[in-house]
Amino acid sequence: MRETFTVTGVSRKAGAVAVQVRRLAGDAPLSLRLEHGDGTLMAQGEAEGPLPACTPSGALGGCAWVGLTFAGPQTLAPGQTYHLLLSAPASASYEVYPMRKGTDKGFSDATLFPDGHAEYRDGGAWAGWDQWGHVRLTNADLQIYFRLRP
Amino acid sequence: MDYLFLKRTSRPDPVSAVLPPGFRLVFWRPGFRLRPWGFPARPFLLWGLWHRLNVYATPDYGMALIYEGTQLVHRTCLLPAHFRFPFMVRGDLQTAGIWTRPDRRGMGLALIALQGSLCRMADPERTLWYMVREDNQPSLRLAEKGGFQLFGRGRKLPSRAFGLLGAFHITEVHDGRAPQPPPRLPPTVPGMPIR
Repeated sequence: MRETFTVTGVSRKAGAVAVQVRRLAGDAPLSLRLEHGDGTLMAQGEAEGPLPACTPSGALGGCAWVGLTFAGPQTLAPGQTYHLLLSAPASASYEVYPMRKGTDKGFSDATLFPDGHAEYRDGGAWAGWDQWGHVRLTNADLQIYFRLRP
Repeated sequence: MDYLFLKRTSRPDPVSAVLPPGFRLVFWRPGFRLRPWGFPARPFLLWGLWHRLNVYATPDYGMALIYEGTQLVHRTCLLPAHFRFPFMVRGDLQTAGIWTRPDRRGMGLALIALQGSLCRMADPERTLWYMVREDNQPSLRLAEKGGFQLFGRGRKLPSRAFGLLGAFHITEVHDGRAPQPPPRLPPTVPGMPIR
């Protein structure tokens, strides 16, 4: 799955990225990949640091931040589209919880992240989230953040 | 695991079964005691506390108990509307905690307790709910015998406000439509496996 986003405002230099996930099984780390909108690689690697505690799916709590520090600063330029992809090795199982933007409840752009949305691979194509009986929703985000560099 | 939600009015039925000799039906209500003597703390002490603390929408919490001599052989609990069943409205009741001692099953005690409860709680405007795991066929048969009709399907979802308790939400009504009005959505959402 991935978060796809198009940068608005000013250019930023990102030194690291983190995502909140739950580890369900296995001892292998999650893989993260930052790429341009056309799919060309910018940075990738396995999540650093200790693995999140193993927690059953659906349990309360247990989600943890895992991150990747880029070898060098990655420029996120305004108007350009980027994807942050997450993938789990075959020997481990992770799950992620999207965060709804709340646009259907009247939340305005000023209160949320309006520049992207979460997607998952449905067959061979990327598609918006299926949630609460609705399909292809684009009003949810993966829980991610970038650490910026000056 | 999905749950099935059935409902009916609480207008009492003609009583179709009577207790065998030596059995008696008692309708218990919390008073000084929060649970009947000998009942385990979980969940009955909690349910009694909710009654005492006015967590329920109405003060109708109670149980139909059937004794054989001095031995409890059946219980049917009635829970008023509260946060764990957000689809219920004030005045509604939910049957819960139905249990029959294994060696007294098949005698129709649950149906007798249910009909006794309806006589006690009769109110034509009141909806009585029955929630059952979809794989619990004996309980489903009891509900149908008791005049309940399938209303919808749903599941237990975690509740941020009430920790591990969670709440039961109807996600689909019997004809496949989304319930109208839709149930209050839980604060958490289903996770998606990362591939």
